[in-house]
Amino acid sequence: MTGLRDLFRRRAELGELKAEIRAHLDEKIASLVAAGMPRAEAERAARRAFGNITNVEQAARDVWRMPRAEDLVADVGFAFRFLRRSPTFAAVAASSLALGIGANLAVFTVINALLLRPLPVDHPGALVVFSREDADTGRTNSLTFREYADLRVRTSSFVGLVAHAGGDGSLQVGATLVPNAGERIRGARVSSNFFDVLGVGMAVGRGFLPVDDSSADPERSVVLSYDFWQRRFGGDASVVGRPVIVFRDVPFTVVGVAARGFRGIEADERTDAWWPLGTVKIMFADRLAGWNVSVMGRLKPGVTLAQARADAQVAHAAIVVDEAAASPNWNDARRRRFVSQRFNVSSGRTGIAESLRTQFTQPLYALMVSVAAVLLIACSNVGALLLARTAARRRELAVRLALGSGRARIVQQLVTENALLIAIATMGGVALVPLAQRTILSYAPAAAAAALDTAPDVRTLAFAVAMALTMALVVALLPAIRSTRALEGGLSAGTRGSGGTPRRSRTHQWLLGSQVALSVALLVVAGLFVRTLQNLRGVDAGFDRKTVVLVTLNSGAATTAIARRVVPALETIPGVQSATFYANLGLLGGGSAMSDCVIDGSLPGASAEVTCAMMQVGPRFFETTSTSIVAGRAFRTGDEPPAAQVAIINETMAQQYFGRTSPLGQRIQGKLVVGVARDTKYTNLREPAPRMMYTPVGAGWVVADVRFALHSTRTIAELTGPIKRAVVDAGVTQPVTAIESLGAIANATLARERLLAELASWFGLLALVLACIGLYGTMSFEVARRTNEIGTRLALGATRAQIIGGLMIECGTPVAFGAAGGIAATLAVSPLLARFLFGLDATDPTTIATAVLVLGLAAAAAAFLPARRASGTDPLIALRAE
Amino acid sequence: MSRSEPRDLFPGALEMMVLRILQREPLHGYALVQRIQQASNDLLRVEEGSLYPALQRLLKAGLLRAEWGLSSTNRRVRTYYLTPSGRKHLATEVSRFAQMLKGVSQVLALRDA
Repeated sequence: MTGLRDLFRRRAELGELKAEIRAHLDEKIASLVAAGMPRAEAERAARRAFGNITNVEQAARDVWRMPRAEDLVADVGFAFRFLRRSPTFAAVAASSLALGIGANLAVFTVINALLLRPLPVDHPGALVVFSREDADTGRTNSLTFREYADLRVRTSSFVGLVAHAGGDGSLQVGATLVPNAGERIRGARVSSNFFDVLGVGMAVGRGFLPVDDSSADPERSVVLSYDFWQRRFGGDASVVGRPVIVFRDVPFTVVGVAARGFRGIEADERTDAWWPLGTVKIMFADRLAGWNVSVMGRLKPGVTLAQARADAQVAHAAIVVDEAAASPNWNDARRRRFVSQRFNVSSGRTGIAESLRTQFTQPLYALMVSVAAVLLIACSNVGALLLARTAARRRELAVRLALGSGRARIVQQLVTENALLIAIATMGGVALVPLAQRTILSYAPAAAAAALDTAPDVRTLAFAVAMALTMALVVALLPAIRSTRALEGGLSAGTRGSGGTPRRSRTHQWLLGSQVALSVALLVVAGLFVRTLQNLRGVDAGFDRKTVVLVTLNSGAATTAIARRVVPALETIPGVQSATFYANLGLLGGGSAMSDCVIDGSLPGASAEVTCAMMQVGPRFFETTSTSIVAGRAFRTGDEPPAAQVAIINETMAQQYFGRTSPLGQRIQGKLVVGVARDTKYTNLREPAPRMMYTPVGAGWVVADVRFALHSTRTIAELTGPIKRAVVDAGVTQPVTAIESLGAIANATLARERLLAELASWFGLLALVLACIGLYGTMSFEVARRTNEIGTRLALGATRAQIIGGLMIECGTPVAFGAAGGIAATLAVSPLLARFLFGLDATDPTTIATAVLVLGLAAAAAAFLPARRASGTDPLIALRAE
Repeated sequence: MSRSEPRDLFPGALEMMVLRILQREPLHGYALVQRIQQASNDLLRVEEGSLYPALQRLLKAGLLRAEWGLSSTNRRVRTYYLTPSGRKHLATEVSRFAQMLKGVSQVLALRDA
């Protein structure tokens, strides 16, 4: 605080200094007069000997100053006035930077939430996640509970392994099931060691008892999340011990509330409640072993990830071999494929978010690159504008340099002006973040958008600081240094006359060229993504997207008896032409129900793939979903097993299994093929239809994942009420959890493509606008600088058209080079882009040509306006301006 | 700051001389100028005004303290005193200067080859 003390002392000292100087002069005069000099002359002599009093006082004052801080205050004030004097410039510069900053921060916070933020558990760095993928397709598959149990026994690198199977469900308070009284929750069945291994404590009550997950009598307990407990029960601790129903009609007991902040191990879901995986046995006695689970583990202290991976891979390889050996009816291809699957152990620090991460990791990084490019354009743009403005102030700055102002001092002032601009832009950018975040998250499933934790943290802050510093360097410091260096030549050089310094012009051209290059690249990418989306939207899905509505009941599982009661009830709704049900997903629900489909007899050979997707369908399925039968017939009454064994296969399967031979009358897995259905999209609109086999749902079956479909031209809003009433009327106690049109579901599978297409378009447009602003600014500046040259040429008889043409050709050069650079850049990254595209190549000439044309036209317009203004210069005025 | 100093002195020379003179006796500004010129036999021309920023620097650095009093000619003047840290500072400065002078002299005393 010496600085502050000095600041106060300075005032006192200055007063004393004045008195002191007066005394000094008086004494000098007195002594000179005493020596015989006339008084007037003595006064002059004394002042002469003393020197410039004002300078002395200034120098003395400087001693007490905090020069940097005080200059800064003055500079900021000056900078404010300066920006206010040119509001258009300030607005354009600040808003283009703000857009860039906001977009970058928003994309980063989403990346942070999905990919970087560690789980709020004890030592998240020691957590690992297990995964396996098919060696051929690269698709990741879940592990089964049996594999989990085997891994626990056969590995030694882990403190513990946990299994987790999350899903949407409902929770109802009370011991008896009341229709539609439950509320939708995100639930998870977990191994009983779940909370212990993760190191998550309980806010209230206890966790699960450490019992064997596969015991015959599993613990019927529920642990609630802290958030859900607060939201649903107002933080009432007496909820522990109360009965709830989370699963069919079996009462469970709330035993505890997990520690605050823990929302489960899924980064893209907020789990509301957990219950033991063993309870699967209550409903599906024999299904637990094959139940799909995510597996996480905690490394023992001192064990590295690589060691644990090797350990688990050896263990899993043995498990796989055992399993293959236990399946004698597989053919060689199936066996080879099963044994060759890749097993991996990777860091589980950030939890699991398999589907969202697979879908969005690369698009998010692509977005990050795009927004960084936009910010770069904005920076170089503002940098160029600032350079131009400083150049316009050459005279002022040169005069100040000549008057003895230090170059460092001038740089400081220019930097302050630029930094103020950045500060304003940063505030604007931060204000834009919530909006930009919402926009990005709107492309993710609603649950994920709500669950992703985008609150600022250390990483976000570090990112923001790094970005601000980079910008400060590029936008604030470099132009300031650059423009004062140009000035050092002095007052005379370059302030008048027609010749500019070529070096500065070249800087402008480089900046302009790189802006154009980035813009072209972004426009091409945007064009590719937009056309990909169009192609996918227009793709023939094989079913009718407009008139099919899908209805999901809670917990998914139902007996065919229930399904057969609901279907007629749905068909009585006015405006519903037909209804049906189906199981094992499909119709864009995806699903992993791949089963062996071996043709009876010889075909296909030992080397052929023999799996296909199975869908069990109710009556009138093909009619209701408008899936046409291209050969043979649809199912009819009497086809249901066990009375009959019939199947319908899709075109892909017919082609791959039978080629040109008719499949009708052939038998697969003992089932008679009675028809061939059109290919329909299965998991999403992008992937081609897999081999599919439809069979009728047998009487008395219990099937998982039942959905109902109905055919109606009425809207979802009109149908919702009647559907819910129909389900209750049918005597079904499980609540309806979703009513969606097939079109909406199909569009939802395009989330990634929509995200890429729409955001890339925005960024492409933004880049285009920024590049045009840059071009316009550079051109205006160039024109202003060369007013008298233009005037002279006009006076010498040049036509306006010649002047305009000349100027446009000049700025056309960097634009052309930039465009070429942009095309080269997109061609260079085309292999990376290819995987996101559908129905066109990354080097698609039409898209590239369109992008260049759009940019060319916009650039021409941006350059034409200042050029035309220049050609209207009155030669006399131009020459007199000097 | 260097601009406000006389061209014929190196930076810090004036401060060193001020400290040295004040070590003998406390003086006010005008008397200090007189004493420098006397002591240097008028070899050094110090612009009188340049003394004051130097005094301010020394005050700020805590090497001097100042008190108002009456001069021998009965004028109200500000008399400067050396502080203990000023005394220490002078000692190190003088020895550093002596070293420098010795070095420079040895170079200048080189015989022509």
